[in-house]
Amino acid sequence: MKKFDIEDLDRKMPYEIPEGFFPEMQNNVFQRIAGEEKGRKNKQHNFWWVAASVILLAGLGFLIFPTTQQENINSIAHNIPAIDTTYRVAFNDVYVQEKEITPQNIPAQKPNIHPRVNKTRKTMATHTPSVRNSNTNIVAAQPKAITAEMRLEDAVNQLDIQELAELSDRYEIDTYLELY
Amino acid sequence: MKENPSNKRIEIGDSVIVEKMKSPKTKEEGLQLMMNTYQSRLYWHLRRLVVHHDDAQDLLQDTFIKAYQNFDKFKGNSKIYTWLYRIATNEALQFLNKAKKMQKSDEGTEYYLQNAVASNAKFGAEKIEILLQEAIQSLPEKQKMVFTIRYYEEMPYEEIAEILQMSIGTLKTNYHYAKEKITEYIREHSEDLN
Repeated sequence: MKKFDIEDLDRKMPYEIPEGFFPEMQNNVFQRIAGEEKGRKNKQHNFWWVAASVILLAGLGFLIFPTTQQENINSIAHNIPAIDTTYRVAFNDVYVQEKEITPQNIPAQKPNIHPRVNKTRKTMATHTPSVRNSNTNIVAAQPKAITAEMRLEDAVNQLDIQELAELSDRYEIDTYLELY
Repeated sequence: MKENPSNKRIEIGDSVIVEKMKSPKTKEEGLQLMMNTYQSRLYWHLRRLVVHHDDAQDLLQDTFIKAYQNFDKFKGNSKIYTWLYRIATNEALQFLNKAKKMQKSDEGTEYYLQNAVASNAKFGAEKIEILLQEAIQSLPEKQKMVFTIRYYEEMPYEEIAEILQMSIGTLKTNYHYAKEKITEYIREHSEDLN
């Protein structure tokens, strides 16, 4: 191969193409284009469905719960004492009984007492043994309600200023000693 | 350099393709016409670059789909086949870059493609044809692009410059070096050809 020039070669390729390749390739191209168009349309279609659903849900939400944000806050704030009362009810029957709302003690100036408060109190009160065991009005159980706390308060009230000062000094000393 | 006898026919076809592709109603018809006109030339351009038929097939499909989807970007300043060659060449370059990342080196890809030439060759292919393709695969990327388009397509440098976005001087230099390297490669590997 002393005088070799690639320009003299036939520009033939050593490969071959499978039979029916070009029609198949064209079909694939059209299928992919159709698929992509369909996908694009579906995306658009889905977008409108999602948008319509969101608007519908928002509208329904507004119809079903037409409260404003401020009303919601008020409602939450109004519920807080009910929860607090329930907590106290669980640990102190006497407190419940004292606060129990009966037709006699509903204050005339507060007609809009939250129904949930009533319900909770009543429910919890019916679970207390004192109420369950008696057929009389819940208010009738009030005389039994003298606790150690109340007795202590009465005792403290009976003390004069000097006695209170003495007690106070002792308390401080005891605390000091306890540190050691 | 011989003038491509099909150039005039292609230019006449171009105006029809452009007209059909511009209208949404006849766009698919335009694509069909475009594929019928250029599929063979583009396929061989891609096959020379990536060797494997399946890869060339995928790249050819991608080329036509991109051309279809982005035809509004074709301004008509160049010929359709120049524009299509540009899309196809970019697709091939992206593919080869991915292959390089997989092989982790240029040498690995070259070696892989050189080996693929013989295994993809048809029964009865001449040894010199195989050697020439192997020599092309041993070239750096730019030289490979310039050489295949100029040597097989006999495309004018002005059009190659549009496709590859290079100056005519750079193209001529690249073609010259590519030719030298190929000749050297064939001389080295053709002891048994005589």
